[in-house]
Amino acid sequence: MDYFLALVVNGIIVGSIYSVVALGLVLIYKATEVVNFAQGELLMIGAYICLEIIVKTGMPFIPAFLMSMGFMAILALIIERVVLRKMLEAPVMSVIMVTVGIGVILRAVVILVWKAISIPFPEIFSREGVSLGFITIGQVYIWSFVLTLIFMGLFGAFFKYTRIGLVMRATASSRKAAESMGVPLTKVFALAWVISAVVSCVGGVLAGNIAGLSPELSFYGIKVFPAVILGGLDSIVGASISGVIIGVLENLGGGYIKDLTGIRGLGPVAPFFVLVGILWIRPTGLFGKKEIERV
Amino acid sequence: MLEVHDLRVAYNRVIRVLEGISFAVPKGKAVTLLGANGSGKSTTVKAISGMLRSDNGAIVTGKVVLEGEDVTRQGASRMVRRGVIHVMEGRFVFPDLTVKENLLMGAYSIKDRSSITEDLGRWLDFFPVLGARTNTQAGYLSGGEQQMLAIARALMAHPRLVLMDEPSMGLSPILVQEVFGVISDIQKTHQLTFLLVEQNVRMALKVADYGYVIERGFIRLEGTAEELRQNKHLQDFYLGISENENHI
Repeated sequence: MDYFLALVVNGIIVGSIYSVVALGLVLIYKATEVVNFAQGELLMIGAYICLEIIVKTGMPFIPAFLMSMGFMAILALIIERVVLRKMLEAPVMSVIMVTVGIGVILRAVVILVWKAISIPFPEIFSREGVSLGFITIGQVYIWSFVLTLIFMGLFGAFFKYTRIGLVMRATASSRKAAESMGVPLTKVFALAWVISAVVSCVGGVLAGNIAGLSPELSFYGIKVFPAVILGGLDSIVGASISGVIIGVLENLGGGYIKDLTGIRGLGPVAPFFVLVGILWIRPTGLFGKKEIERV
Repeated sequence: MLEVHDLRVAYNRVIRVLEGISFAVPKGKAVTLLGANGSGKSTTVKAISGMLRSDNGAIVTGKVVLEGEDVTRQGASRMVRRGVIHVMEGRFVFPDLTVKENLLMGAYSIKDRSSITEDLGRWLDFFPVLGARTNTQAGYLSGGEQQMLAIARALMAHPRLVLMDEPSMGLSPILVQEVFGVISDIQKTHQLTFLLVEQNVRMALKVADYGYVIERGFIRLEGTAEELRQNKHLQDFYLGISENENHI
């Protein structure tokens, strides 16, 4: 039982990072109908930039973290202004393919600058364990979880209580209606990319703190897909909850499949099996909306 | 207030929808554009409000003049700032937002934020059906309630000119009467300028002072509401009304 609980708790903590990254993916999808295949690469770049600021300037973590978020906001603005805005009238599939291209370029930049090796993140949060009774967890995990919750709360409050948050929700709800109310859609799209890049940076720094940095961090972009699809591509709440579900499934799958079969490395695959099962029953995901079409 | 001169519009650069129409909407009056499906009515209001681009449409030639100023090809956000609000065909409320949030979005272009709460209270009082459901998601409202919400949301923007596209669409005859009653009330009490696009000729001519009939991108007929009501040609041929059968 303790083993099971340990896997669940660990899964919740890792899953909370998936939730943050999934939030970014859903945000862009809701605002622009584009699935951003460069989400993982944005996460990776954010983590590397934070590391670079800390190592090169000796700056404390918090200001370095905030600076890297600022950097990611500017990077997202540049990507949106230079590449994506020109494709406003283009078919969604073309824009999606462009995001794949952006991902490839960002990955190449990381390999060029930091090489394809694993770099440990400076120890910001202690790795020393804290006993929760049935399980001992490293402080770095607990801090990651707490920071994730804080950021999710802040983003939730932003969308719920600010005027810009309302405008973004309105645009996601009906682009045409928003346009008819005078909302400049290009600005909303740009803001969606900025917020998405910033949340990716948060996810990247937290994931980097736990496992170190390498170009493999970009695989988070793929790993969060089950969470996003499971929650419903258009549901922010769904993506957040599903991130945790996927994290738990991944841990349980990794733990038990390894024990039962002796085969290692099947953990990350487990969520995809569950995903297929759920989509079979609910094609729009657990929280996704069914499209209503007038005939 | 609004003048449209020789307007020609095409979609995807090749599909010509308007073939040079001209008309005027005087300040404080309600003017209606009548015509069958596909005649170009909705395209006309989209061309005025700057909403053509999202449908891959564009003004090929012609001019849109608002209070003496050339506003041809201005985007939707600029037109809203100039006080031109487009209530689109099919209502287009924000289905995931509450009634109150929908109304707040109507005030998006209002610079004086302090007046918004007062406006909100006023329109919720004016539309009791909305006042009773401020925290309900708009997607769960009935068709008639959504139409009321779309009208109230437009009024939150302090419009000078309201472009209303087929408010009767998809509504039962009783609701159509109710919606047109509200439009007529607002137009008269607030001296608003309305350009009303409709297929429901009878109702539109009850509200409007003047009307134009569009067919296949051309204006075929115009006159005061009374003249159009009496026009035998309009009744028999264009819009299928006869003395014995009043189409609603």
